[in-house]
Formats: sequence, C-alpha cells, structure tokens
Amino acid sequence: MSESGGRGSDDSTDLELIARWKAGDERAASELVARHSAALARFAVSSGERNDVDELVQDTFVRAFNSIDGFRGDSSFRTWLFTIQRRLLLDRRRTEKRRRDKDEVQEDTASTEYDALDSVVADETRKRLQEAVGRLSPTQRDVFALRVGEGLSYKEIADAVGTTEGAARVHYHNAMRAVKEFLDE
Amino acid sequence: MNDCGNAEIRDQLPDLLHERLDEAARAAVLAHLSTCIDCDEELRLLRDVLGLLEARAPRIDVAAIVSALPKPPAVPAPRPRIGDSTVIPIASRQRRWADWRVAAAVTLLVAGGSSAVVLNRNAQHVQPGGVAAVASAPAAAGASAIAASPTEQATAMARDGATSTSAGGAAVSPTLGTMAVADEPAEAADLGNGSRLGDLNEQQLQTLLNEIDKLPAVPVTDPEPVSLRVTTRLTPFDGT
Repeated sequence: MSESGGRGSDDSTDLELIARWKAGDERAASELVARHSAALARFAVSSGERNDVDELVQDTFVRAFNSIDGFRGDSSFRTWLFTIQRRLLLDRRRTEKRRRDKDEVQEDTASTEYDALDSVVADETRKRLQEAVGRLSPTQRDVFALRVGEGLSYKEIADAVGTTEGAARVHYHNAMRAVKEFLDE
Repeated sequence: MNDCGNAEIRDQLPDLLHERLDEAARAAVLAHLSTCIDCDEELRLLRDVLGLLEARAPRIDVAAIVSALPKPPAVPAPRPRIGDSTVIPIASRQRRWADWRVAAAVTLLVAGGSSAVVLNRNAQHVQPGGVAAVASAPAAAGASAIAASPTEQATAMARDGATSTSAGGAAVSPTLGTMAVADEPAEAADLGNGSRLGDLNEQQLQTLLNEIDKLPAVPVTDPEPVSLRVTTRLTPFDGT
C-alpha cells in the first residue's frame, strides 16, 4: 500500500518531507496532509467519532507539527499520527462523558453514535456490520479498525494504541469473533 | 460463520486486502483461499468492513488543514554582503569602527616612524653652516639632493610628488618630504657659480665670509613706533 508506505505523489518518504518542512518548505506539509488525512478520517469514524471529524483530523496534524521534533522515526509517521489522534479522541470522550454525566443522560455512547448513522448505511448487511463494530470495546474497535481499515501490522498497532504486539493480536481476533457472532445471531 | 483452524493464514488476510504481502506469501494465501470457505467468507467480511469505513469517512479539506498548521521553523537569514541595503547590526558597526581606528593607528605609526627615521638620518648629516647654505639653496637643488641621500623610500615618494598613498594606509605626507628637503646637508647646496660649499677649503671660506661682511647691510625694518600715552596724575607738591 503506497500510502502507508510513506510515499505518495511526491515520491519522497515521510521523513524526507518532514526534513523539507523543517527547512522551510511548506509544500512538504501539504503533501504529508494529503497523504495521511483520509486514513485519519477513516480511523476517526471507525473509532466511533461522527461529529467534527475534519476538525479532529486538523487538530491531529496541528499537534503533530507542533511536536514534530518528538517524532524519532521509530514507527511510521502514519502510526505516530494515529497515536496522536487516538489520544485526542480519548480526551474528547472524557470531556463528552463529563458533560453527559452533568446532564444526567446515561447512554451507550458507541452504539448511539453508530445508530445515528442509519441513514448512511445502504443496506441491512452494512447496517448489521456497523452495529457489530459499534459493540466492540474501544480498544478492540481501534485495533480492528487499524488492522482492517489501514492494514497496519500488529507491531504498528501496538505502537499506536500503546500496547504489546501480542495483546494487539488477541484484541484483533477477539474483535473478529465478536463481529461474526453478532452477524450470525 | 466459522473460524478456520489455520491461524497463520487468517492473520495474513488483512495484509492480503491491503496488498502488503510479498509474492510468496500472497501465493500461499491465495492457494489456501481457493480451498477454504471459512477464510473466503472472512476475507469477504473484511472487504465489507473496509468499504463501510471508507464510505463513512468524510472528505477532508487538505488546504484548510494546511492553513492551520504552524509555520516551519525559521531558517537562518544569510549574512548581508557589501552593497546590500540592509540594516547593519550594532555589533557589526562597532567592529567596522574598530577596524578604522586600527587603520588610523597603523598609518600614524608608519608616518611618524618614517619621519623620525628621516629626521634622525638628516640630523647626522648636517654640518656646521649647512643650515644657512640650504636655506639659500633653490628648491631644485634640494630636490636633487634628496635623490642623492641615502635610500629612503618615503623620501623618494615625497620627491616624486606622491601625496599619499596606498590603500593600506601607509602614507607619507608631502610635509614629510618638505622637511627632508629643508634639512638637507650643507655640502649639497649649490652656491650658484657651480661650486659647492663642501668644495671650499678653510681659506676660501674665510674669504667668502669677509666678502659677506663687506656687503651693505640689509636694511632692517624698524618696528613700528609705539605711541605710548602716559597719563600722569600731578599732585601738588607741598614741599614736605
């Protein structure tokens, strides 16, 4: 997959683009955003985010470029972006939960978010699939989305969600089993 | 929907979906898929999930994100070159002023040192009566005398009319040349009849002095009479 491999239309690697941006080339930033923004949007949606996805993706890039010196290249740039976005998502959920607690509204956040997208789902199969993914635990859902939606390896997923490679594998297989069981009901 | 017992193949299905397998692994997975219904169904499920995620992801305005990004770190500006109409930093101006002061000091040392050397050498060559002879010598004679003097580059430059000098600041002023000429030794002075003072013996010199004594005295300009107004105050003498 050329996108996640760190090369796009510019044919420079992510590390080369980062070096160019540090040297003052703003076009390098444009290339990096164009290369990774769609994947970040997919991950945001698969993680249950339905509101202000574009704002979340933008916040992710802003935070990444503000702390670009912290990126050592140990993982891929995209994996590092997923890590940042996941932290932002957790912050949003905590804030949202506090707000809901204050309003004394007790709901199942994940299923509510997915249920609200019924109009987007074209057929019954997709609707069922969407509900199945929505029932996963947040960690299972993130691992499942990164593995299926982005094709990341277990090592990359472990870096992104802050767990071990073995744990990421277990989360994936548990998620897959849970989705199958829901669809078989 | 059942799980296939081949966990290794199942682990590679997402990689097959995203074309992240090398040729050998890809061929092995495809060979397994051709005979395994469970893995084939699971791969179909994965495709549906991927399609669902892509369909739900909104389009992202790349330009809007880029405009919100911080500016790249500042690139150090190149040093201004000579002729640039840029503001010169204070430190640079101070350094430039210091350079001028050093150049002026070197010029002063060279000029002062050269004149001291010339004056010292000329003082050694001056003989009794030389000053008077030189004083009456024409300027041309003085100039030729300079050429005959010991080699002194600064003096030669003055003779040639060099009024100043090289960019390095090592300058010999015309004043220095004039001083050297005025102080030329007596034997270099021409008496006007082809002979030189240095050529005269003691008797001839005495004769010359006697003739000078017979010359009418040069009228001396008397000082302007000063009219003093003395105001005296007479007091009556009372005889006591």
